[in-house]
Amino acid sequence: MSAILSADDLNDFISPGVACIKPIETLPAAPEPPASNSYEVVLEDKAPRTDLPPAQISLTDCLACSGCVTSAEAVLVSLQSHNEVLANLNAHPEKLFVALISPQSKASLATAYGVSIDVAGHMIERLLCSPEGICGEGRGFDFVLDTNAAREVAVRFAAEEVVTAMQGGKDGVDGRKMPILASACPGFVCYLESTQPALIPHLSMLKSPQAILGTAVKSLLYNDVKDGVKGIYVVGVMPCFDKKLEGARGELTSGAWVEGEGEVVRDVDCVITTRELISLAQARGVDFATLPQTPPLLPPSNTTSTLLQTLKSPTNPTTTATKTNATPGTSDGYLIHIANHILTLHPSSTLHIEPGRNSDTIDYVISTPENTIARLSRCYGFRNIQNLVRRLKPAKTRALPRFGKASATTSQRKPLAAARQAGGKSDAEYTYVEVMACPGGCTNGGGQVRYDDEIIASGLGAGTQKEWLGRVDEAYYSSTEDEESGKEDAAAQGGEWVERFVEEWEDRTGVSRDKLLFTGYRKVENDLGGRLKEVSVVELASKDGGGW
Amino acid sequence: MRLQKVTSVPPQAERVWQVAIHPTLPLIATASSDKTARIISLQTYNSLSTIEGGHKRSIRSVAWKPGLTGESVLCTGSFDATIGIWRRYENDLDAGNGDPGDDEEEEEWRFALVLDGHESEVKSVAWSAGGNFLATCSRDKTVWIWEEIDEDNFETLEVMQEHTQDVKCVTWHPEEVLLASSSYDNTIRLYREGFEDWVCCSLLEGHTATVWSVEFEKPASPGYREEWGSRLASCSDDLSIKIWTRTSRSGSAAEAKKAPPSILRGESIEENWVETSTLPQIHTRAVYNVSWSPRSGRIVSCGSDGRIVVYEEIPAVDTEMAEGDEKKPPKTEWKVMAEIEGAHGVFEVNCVQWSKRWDKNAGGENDEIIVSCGDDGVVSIWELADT
Repeated sequence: MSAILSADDLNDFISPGVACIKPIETLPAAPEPPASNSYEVVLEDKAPRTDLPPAQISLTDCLACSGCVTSAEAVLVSLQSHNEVLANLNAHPEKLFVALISPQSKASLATAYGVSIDVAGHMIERLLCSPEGICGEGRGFDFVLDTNAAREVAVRFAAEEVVTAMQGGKDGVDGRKMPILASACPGFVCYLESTQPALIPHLSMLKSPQAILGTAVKSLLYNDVKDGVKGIYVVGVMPCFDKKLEGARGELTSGAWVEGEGEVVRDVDCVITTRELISLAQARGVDFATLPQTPPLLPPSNTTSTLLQTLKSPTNPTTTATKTNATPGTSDGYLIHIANHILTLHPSSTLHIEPGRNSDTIDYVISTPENTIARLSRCYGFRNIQNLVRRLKPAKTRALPRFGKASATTSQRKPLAAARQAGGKSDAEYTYVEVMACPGGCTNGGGQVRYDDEIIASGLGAGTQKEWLGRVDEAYYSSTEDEESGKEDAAAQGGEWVERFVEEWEDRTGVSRDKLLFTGYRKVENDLGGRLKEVSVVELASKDGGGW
Repeated sequence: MRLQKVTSVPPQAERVWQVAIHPTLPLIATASSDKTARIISLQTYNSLSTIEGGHKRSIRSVAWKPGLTGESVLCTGSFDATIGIWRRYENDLDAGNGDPGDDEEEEEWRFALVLDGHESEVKSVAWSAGGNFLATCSRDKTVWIWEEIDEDNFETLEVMQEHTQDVKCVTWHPEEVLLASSSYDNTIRLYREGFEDWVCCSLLEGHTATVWSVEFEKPASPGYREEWGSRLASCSDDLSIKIWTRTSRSGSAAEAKKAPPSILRGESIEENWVETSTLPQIHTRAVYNVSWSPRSGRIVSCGSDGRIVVYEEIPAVDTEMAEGDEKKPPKTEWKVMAEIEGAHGVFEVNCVQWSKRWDKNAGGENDEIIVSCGDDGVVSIWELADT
């Protein structure tokens, strides 16, 4: 277990569940100890628990169980740590190593080391690919990609998905339900799959930028490397721990896009957090702060697909256009891009922003003088997710249990139900919700550098996490602003670029975009109730949580 | 003085976890393992109605919403991880002492809605003084704050994960929007509404085992002294009952003078609380509950050892404590007024609450009784007798 992964560092507001199925299933009965006194009666609950092997829990186990909602301090993420990355670099030097860097990670490191976000990107590249970095002491990475390009692909198709779903009216199309909920946050996806499966039809089918880029790297390069898909090792550097869960998803493997038999590998083999990237540097004796701030001169690699190089090129215009003055948010700007797209389709419409109860819940209403075209909402953090989920839940699960003698109560309940319908806006009118599990969005991920971290360059520390986060957000927005400058019709250009890229991607691989860009979700059964009678849950409770 | 039993209400099928006294009407609500909540008259001590059918597991906690007229709203927190809100019109309440066997009564409780979100057993529920906010806590280590934005439409305002273990109890300050929670992690935490979030404004450490319950002193209490500020009583598995006093809070005039304004820190809402008394230790096993009377200022406690104990504060001699700039609230002594063993036979006593006396023997506004409940499913009524 990674030393830095502790309860203190996790701020994604998701905690371990009541009971993990794993220990219950796998703990073997204690072998009978050799009795020192054969007349001694050993009570079952006092039987010595010796010789028990430690329970092994992998992320895949966790994904198969809703005992825990998601990653937590109790989960051993030994398969997704910087040590695992180093072990693979050492053990398989023949593989092609690719790192995918999130813009939020770059913003966090830029703030911690007092450099611009672009310089932070160069330093990360130096760290992973150059002799000044980890290559000085062994195998390093072959190249580094920024997930910004994949983000543009994602927001473009997210807008398409929402507009298509809008044509189906209230019920959406193809069994989709409105509103569409963003699926880029793996914490939220896991939460829905395990605790709110009824809402799965709302989830966007689009892969996250990390997953899209992972698929792109493997699908475009595996024919060029020895051992095919197994010959490529992709590492994501992400702002949160939950991205590790995404990396481990069964849906996001080569099995989804490679025809025929053969070993299935993950599209992203390993995910480390921003903070773990620094631990990786330290493990190879590299001080990140002293790395050169210019991009490394990498030898031209003939195995690198030219198509992938277009993803690396920094000249791509961003699609986070400036039709509105709204900030794109800290989580890849899905909502704003979708809003812009809808505004473009309805030239007479305008955008109106309605602030919510707190800064993590904001409504964006697109309307013409006559009617409302779409209502989009930003919803970050567990408390706001609770309100969203409660309002979206089908009436059935909110059905009121019968109380007392039913006949007399039915009539009295009606006015209440009616009042509830009338009061407040129904969420059926929502078109899209950009949901993220972390308050403050992705720049505030649990895997980011925190305000009191020892690695922060002297003089750059902040008094509170809030103040620190403000600076990280500033760094994050600075990159999008640079790219936007002077691009009036950026949206259209970006759209063309993305379309060309995806078409060529389909041509090169012979795989349709349905498989390259989209994915699916499944209900994670919580069968705790079936397997354990309440009595044993009670016993478990009294042992684990200190009783009543 | 001694504790004398007035009467006992016939037992429920299973243990009663908690009793809650209605803020204005002569009613008790119980929380029971039999998945029901029972409403008992404080005038006749008869059972008036039973609220059932809403929860799949034990009801662990109940709370009456304050500040209502003409209607009663009861909140139930259950081990099934949900919270129920129940409503009943109170137009005929005065008739409650008339015919206790009247079945019609029962049907007037309406299950309004269920609040879910907690991942495991709900341990305690509490309404804020004005009834605007509802706080709930759970074995999932979280404390939730809910607000009713329109009738029967609740929003989650905050989910706080400050405790590292099971949270046992939540309680609100009688006047301020200040929430306290206590936990299996041995600590008490206080929360206030900040600029945009609810934040933990104080951490009270001193107990060496689970803090089972906490309760603020009411300003009406005779022992309340404005100059020393609010007090909080806590009881624990470490057998002790402690009194904590607030010594400072930012925003107060004194504090503002002391600390220069800081742009970096923003408006701090931290509070300082210190332990100012430890009550005489009578209990020999875990102390589960304390109740602080607004009428007499007395404290009553109960616990796993089956005892009910009443304490009274020895009035502090008004010595000048202010020396230099450091003002410290006086440490006061408490004495035991009465105690009884085996209050519920061999069973544990889970909860005790002071209540105004409403029955036919009531001797004025300040006459009071103690309501207790235990693992025997019985609710008992006690009075303090002179002999």
